[in-house]
Amino acid sequence: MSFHRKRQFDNEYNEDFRKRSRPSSRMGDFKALCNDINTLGETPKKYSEDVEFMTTPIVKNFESDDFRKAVLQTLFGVVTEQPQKMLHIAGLVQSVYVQSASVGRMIVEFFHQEAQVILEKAVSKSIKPSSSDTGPWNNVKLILRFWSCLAFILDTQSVSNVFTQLLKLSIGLQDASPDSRCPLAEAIYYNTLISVPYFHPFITDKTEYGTVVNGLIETAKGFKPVPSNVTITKPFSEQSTEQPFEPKEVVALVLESLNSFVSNDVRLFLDIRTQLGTLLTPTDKMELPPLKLPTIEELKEISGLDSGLGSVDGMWRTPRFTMEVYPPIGDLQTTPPSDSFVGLILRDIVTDIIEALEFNRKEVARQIITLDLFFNDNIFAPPGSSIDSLKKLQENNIENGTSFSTWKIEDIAIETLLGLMFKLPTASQPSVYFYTTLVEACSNAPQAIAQVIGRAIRFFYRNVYHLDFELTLRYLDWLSIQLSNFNFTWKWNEWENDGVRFADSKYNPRVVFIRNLVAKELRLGSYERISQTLTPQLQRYLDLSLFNASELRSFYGRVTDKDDLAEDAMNVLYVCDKLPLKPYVEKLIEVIHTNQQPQNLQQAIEELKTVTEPFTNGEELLITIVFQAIAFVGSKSTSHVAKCIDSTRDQLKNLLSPSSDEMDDEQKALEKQVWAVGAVLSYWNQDPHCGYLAVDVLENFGVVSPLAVLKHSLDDSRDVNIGLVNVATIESIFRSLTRVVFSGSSTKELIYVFETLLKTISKTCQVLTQSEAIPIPDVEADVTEEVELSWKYHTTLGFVRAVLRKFSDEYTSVSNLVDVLEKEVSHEDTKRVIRLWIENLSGL
Amino acid sequence: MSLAEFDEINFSNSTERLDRPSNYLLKRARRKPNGLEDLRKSYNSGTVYVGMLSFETTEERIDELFSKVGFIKQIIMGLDRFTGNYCGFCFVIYHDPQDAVNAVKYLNGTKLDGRQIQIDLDPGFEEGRQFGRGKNGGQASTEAAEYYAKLPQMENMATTNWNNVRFGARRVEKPQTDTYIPGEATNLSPTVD
Repeated sequence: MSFHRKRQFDNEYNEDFRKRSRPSSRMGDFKALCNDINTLGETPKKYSEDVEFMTTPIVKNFESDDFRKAVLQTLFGVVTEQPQKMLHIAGLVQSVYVQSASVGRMIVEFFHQEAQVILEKAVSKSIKPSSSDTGPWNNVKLILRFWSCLAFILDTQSVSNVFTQLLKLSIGLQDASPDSRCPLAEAIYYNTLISVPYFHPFITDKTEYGTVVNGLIETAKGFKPVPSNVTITKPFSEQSTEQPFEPKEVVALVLESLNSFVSNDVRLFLDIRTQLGTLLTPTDKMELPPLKLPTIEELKEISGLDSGLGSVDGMWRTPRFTMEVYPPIGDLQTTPPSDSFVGLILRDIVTDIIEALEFNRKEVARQIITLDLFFNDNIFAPPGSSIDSLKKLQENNIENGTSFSTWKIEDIAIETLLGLMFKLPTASQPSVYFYTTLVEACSNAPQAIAQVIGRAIRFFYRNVYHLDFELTLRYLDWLSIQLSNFNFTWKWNEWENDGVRFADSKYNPRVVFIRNLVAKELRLGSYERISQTLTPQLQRYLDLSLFNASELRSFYGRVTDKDDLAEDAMNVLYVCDKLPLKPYVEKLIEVIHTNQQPQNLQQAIEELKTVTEPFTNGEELLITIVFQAIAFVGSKSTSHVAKCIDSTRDQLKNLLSPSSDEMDDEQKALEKQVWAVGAVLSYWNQDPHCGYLAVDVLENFGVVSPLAVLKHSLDDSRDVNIGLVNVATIESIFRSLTRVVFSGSSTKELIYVFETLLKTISKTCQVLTQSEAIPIPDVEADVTEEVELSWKYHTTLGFVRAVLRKFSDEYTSVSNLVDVLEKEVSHEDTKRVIRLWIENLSGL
Repeated sequence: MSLAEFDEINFSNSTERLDRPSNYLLKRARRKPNGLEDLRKSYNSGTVYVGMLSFETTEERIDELFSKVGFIKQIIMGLDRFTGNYCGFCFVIYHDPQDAVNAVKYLNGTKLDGRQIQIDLDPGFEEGRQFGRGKNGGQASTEAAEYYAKLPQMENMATTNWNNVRFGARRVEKPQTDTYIPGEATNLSPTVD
């Protein structure tokens, strides 16, 4: 070794460099090939060339361990994560088989082993799935699909036997519980049946296809789905007489739709076999060994699918319903009907992509919009077609007797994504994943996607009056993120009419929605920007006041004994000359601001106490001043207020604890805490969200209890019941409840919320004096007292539905829920509805 | 330095994962003696670094966006060392470490106050990191960007006549038909597939 060379390796820097394990160039080559496999089919014209180009290196290098592992993993990855590419991958594998039967055989065997491993894992309870794991049964479905495409490798009958095996398993499982629906049985049945048409693309003998399919359909007829009576998970209120669409259970649709798909010979799939031409030549076929399935006894324990399973499998826990966002415009259908086979399979594929590629939302956004590349050309209208051009197409179709498709791939993709976002009782992924994936799709191709999203936004706005309470919150969340990513531009003039007509309404769902949307926008953008986007008529909604001026005046009037004090900002109010408080309040602020010794703060509070005592509501005034002083000093940001509260919490707790001579300790303490919450929120009246963030901090430090926050939020004695209509308040209620549920002792709070909402309902019913069912008013009805009360009634009812469903596990453990209902509500129809929901809870 | 599992090629996913540490983080980890440890820690710290924020973005706006992923424990705004003003970055600490990974997956590259924000995993906040490390007190990267923005700009690329631009000694005197000259219409433009 030469001197220089030696020196090079002695050098510290180079040693570091040498140690770095760089992928060998071989691995780099593997990666390049695997990337090609991953993107197979994305350039349709080059497909057969690609296959030809890739087959040889796969066959040649397959003996290398590293290479084999890489290729097998990649193939498995594409099949289970991007099922739209199934046919293309099958084409490649079969071309490999034609060149080297042993390599093809190894690939098939690998999938068989994997399926077996997955099935073993499915029954073990210890597996914790990752967020992108769609679940064992869903993966088995995709492997099954893959096998059925391999007509050049596998004996069709042997594959069909595996289908039969699974179908029989599902029938056995469902028969074992004849009275109630078995989620796992439904999942296996649906998964197997929906994969049947995948026999078609590669099979040469079409009569064999017919026999196989008919045989499977015959077997499937033995499955008796038990219709569920769960209605609490439907996206629209049951009381509504004009449902925008009828949600149907998908499990009941699949058999019939498959039947008509097969008998009408619909050409859904690409003709890959013809494309590959001579690359596929018939050779000897191999038998697919049957799967070793778990027994029905073993599966019984997990048949509820309630824990430890992946995202798609978990969706079967409650009945899976169809979701439609794009109803036909006149005769024009932009999506395949949700009960048709094409509708089911496309939505199934989009769902799988969204769930399995959860780790890359950018790829998801790209793949689901370009899905048309992987299906027959005439299934979809040209990508990015506008509604006008589709209408023309439709007219031409009628005139000339042609049947060009008017289905838009963008509509199907976005509709499925929205279906997942609006899934009840829980979404399969954190909702924000769906929001930002939509944003991504929209920014990739604004011209094609923006109009599609716009139509969805309008659909939900039109139907917001009977949309589920929780879904309204998700809708608001989504819209605020969507708009904030596109500079808050929205055609507000479309909603201006409603905004003006119902401006005085407190409970009209549309105006409540507009009010809350503006409030949510203001949290993500500047006042100036949002104000620019709103039309002049809608500027009034920029005022977010939690309490109106007269409420505020009476509040300050009560605590200060002075009726003419209009100012709400405490720094003006308490230091003005009309009240003898100025020096004390200033001292208090000074002490909190400079973070002085606790005894100084205690002393300042004591001094203030002596001056406030003569007031009629002296105690409330004292608490109000101290908490508003905290809010004032910490007004710069949530961190500031947290710092203030952290350093003063002992004194604050002290202040709120009941004095020894008071009788009903707990009630008094609660009342004081409610005063404290009220003080902070009236300080932040113009920006309730900041107020609630400060209240959250108080709650976190244990200064006020969750019950006090709930009590303040759901108080029905105010002019407007803010807990029903103000988004900041509603979110705070759900945050508080979630927090107590996490902490493990939530019964008291949950019962309180249930009871209070029922009281509100009862009170409303009494004023309405209607003994029969109270109908949902016409959404265009003018603001009258009766209409307002009806809206209030339905909003409260929706809240009850949402809160029962969201915390169903906790509520089912409460035994006297029905007793509470009987005690609080006398309106028969309301009782019937709520009792039904309570019964539903055990099925969630 | 080798970064163990972070250097492995991932064959089991059919596309890139967005919950990996950024290239910046990997590069820095290679240079540090305990880089690998830091990288592993960043998956369990519940902390993310958020950059490219507008100076006007407040803590409440960050809370509004990031709390959609999960419960936030604390937000630490990045401050100018000298003025104490916000200077375009912050740390968000979640109660659940998985939420931090989710924030990287779901929110990285979305817009807040019109800025495309950049989110990266972080091994954990330490006192002092809330201050900008730039010469003027702000973020070093912001200062670098400002410096480059001030450099004399080349003329607009599209309108430049490249025939008159001298690249050292090379100058295309006489365009030949088979030479691709940027800016000139030729029939050699790449075909659209």
